[in-house]
Amino acid sequence: MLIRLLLTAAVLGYAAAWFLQLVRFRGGGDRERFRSVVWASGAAALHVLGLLTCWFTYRTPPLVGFGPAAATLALALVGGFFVAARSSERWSAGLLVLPLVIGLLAASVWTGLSPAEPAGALRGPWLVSHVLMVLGGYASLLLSSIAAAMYLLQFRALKKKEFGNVFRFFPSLESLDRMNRIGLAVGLSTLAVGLLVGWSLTLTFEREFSLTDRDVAFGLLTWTAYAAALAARGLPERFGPRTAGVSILAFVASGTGFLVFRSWGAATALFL
Amino acid sequence: MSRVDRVGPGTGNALLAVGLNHRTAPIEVREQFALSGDRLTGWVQSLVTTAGVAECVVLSTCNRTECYAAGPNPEELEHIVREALVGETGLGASGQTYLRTISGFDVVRHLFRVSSGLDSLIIGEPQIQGQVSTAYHQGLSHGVGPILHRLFQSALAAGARVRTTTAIARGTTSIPSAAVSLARKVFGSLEDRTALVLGTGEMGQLTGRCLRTEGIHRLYVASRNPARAERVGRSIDAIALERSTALHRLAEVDLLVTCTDSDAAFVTLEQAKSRPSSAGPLVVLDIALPRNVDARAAELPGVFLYNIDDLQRVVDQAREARVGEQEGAEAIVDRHANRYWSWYRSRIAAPGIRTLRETAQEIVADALAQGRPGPRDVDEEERIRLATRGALNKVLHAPTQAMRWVAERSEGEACLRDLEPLLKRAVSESGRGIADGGLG
Repeated sequence: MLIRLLLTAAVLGYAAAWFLQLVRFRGGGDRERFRSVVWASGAAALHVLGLLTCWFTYRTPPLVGFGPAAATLALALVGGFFVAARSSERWSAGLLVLPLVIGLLAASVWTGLSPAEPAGALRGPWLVSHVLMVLGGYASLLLSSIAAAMYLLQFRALKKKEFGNVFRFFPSLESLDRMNRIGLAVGLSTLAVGLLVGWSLTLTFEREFSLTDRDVAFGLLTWTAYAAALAARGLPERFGPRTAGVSILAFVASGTGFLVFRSWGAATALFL
Repeated sequence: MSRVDRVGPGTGNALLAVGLNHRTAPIEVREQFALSGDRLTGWVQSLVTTAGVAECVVLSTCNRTECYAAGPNPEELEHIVREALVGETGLGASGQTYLRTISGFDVVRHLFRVSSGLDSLIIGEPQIQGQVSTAYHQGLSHGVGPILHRLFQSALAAGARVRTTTAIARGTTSIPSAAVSLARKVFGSLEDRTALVLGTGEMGQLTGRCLRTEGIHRLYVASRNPARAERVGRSIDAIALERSTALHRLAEVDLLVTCTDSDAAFVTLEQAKSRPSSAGPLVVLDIALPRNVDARAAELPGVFLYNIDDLQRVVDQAREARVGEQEGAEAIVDRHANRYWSWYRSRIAAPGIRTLRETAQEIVADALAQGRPGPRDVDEEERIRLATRGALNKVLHAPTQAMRWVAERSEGEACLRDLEPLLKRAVSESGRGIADGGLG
């Protein structure tokens, strides 16, 4: 009950921060930005507290099962966003990041936070580091896609000479490009290491590695899709609307893959 | 608040502002009234040594010259300040026609609006806050007393509040700054970027200066006249180029500003196309009329081309947004102005309070100094009680007598009726103060 209460309060806090972002997007002043930072920080604190309570209640870190994993992924997303928003203009990325966080956290509260029991052999620090790295990788890749979406919107505004709210509120193309590049580089490398750790864990304890395992297949699909996005950045025109489009396609492919895998059979895997 | 309330306390505290601004006088007259440097210091010093002027601060900018003054008699104060201002300009009696005088609460609200940028030619412009601050600091050494000190401090606080809580200062309001803001939306920081300014006219120089202020890494300036390019280049710390060869550097340039008087578009589509896409985006700001850049260049994927109309739209939208914020800003100004005015009005009671306190202190000091021992059969505690009662009666005698006199007058009943709840509130508040460990 306490866990749900804390995480629901966090959802409301993030919603308030998002609302203030909307007000600022529509022409609000710096006060809305400050209030939005305060609300988001308060919500993040409640979020952390909720997950810690979950850990102590169930005596296992909130990483296994859809609800706990989604709540932790939401926190990783918030953490990545806070790091990316060190530059104040990038705080506006919250306009797209916060709804995603709210959705993930609300879904985790809705489905429940009791962990799916992992196989006994998979308990321990290696499992924890595997799941943490994979979730961290997903969060970073999500942020890179959000930066790419904002890039496309800002690019359109600049090309079409629409000097409205997007032009005014969104960061510069250069800033969004950097956010996309760093998100891809960090996300892909973290996800790759996480997948390798998972692979070695599976080989060590189960003596076999199945590519048809839904978590494995989803991880590989996501990595491949975003690797293509990173490769597209190597094109001679450097980062532009086309490469931003590839980043968004990677997100669409990954999201579609998630929905397909999730609807495929009973939910017994660690994340899906 | 009634008109009388807005005029201010009577003798000893008149507050007024005399001056002119962009609404009341043309630029030729404003130039005559402009005061700065030693002239300003000397003028203020001579004014505050004049009998009838207690405090004085002068705010002199390109759009206004306003003298804020406090003194015992409003009519005399206005006369002195007006004469001094006109005397300084040499305009004679005709100068008087341009001067406007406001007094009391209107002065407070006016200065708070000025400080917030609400009275500026371009609403929300940021320089005025610094100019008000400079005027106040210049006044600190000779012309500022308690009334103007608090007035200017409060005005600066109101200005800061307006700027942080509304979007009144957001956006760009001049063509060169709009050009820079567009470039920043593509490149973020300009610190590692290279710009080429084609044209050395006023707009070219202004944009070049703006880019330098933004910390552009390398700046080229080109003109048909190499000597002029050299001269302008030196003034804005740019590398001078001849216009005919300048476009050879297009590949290394991130930002191209064109503002020449050429009759034809001399930056062609082919030239824009020849720039390698690996060089990254190119922002082209074509501020010239007729345009200097082939408009079809805007269709190239890595080129962001803006002309003077686009820049004007950026400026207009920023101005419109600022006007939309005006209502909220005025509310903040009113709140701060009313707060100052409450403090200012409370000063009406200051002389009476001072007399009362001084008398009370004298009475208590007398009682202690006399230190009369009481009757032999009365103990220490009783002696203190008697001395305190005696001092208390003497302290309360004057206000009690004053209340009796008030009651004897025909309008006294209403006055006392107002006084009673106020006394109860004051007693209750000082009781709380003592209970909290202080004296309220």
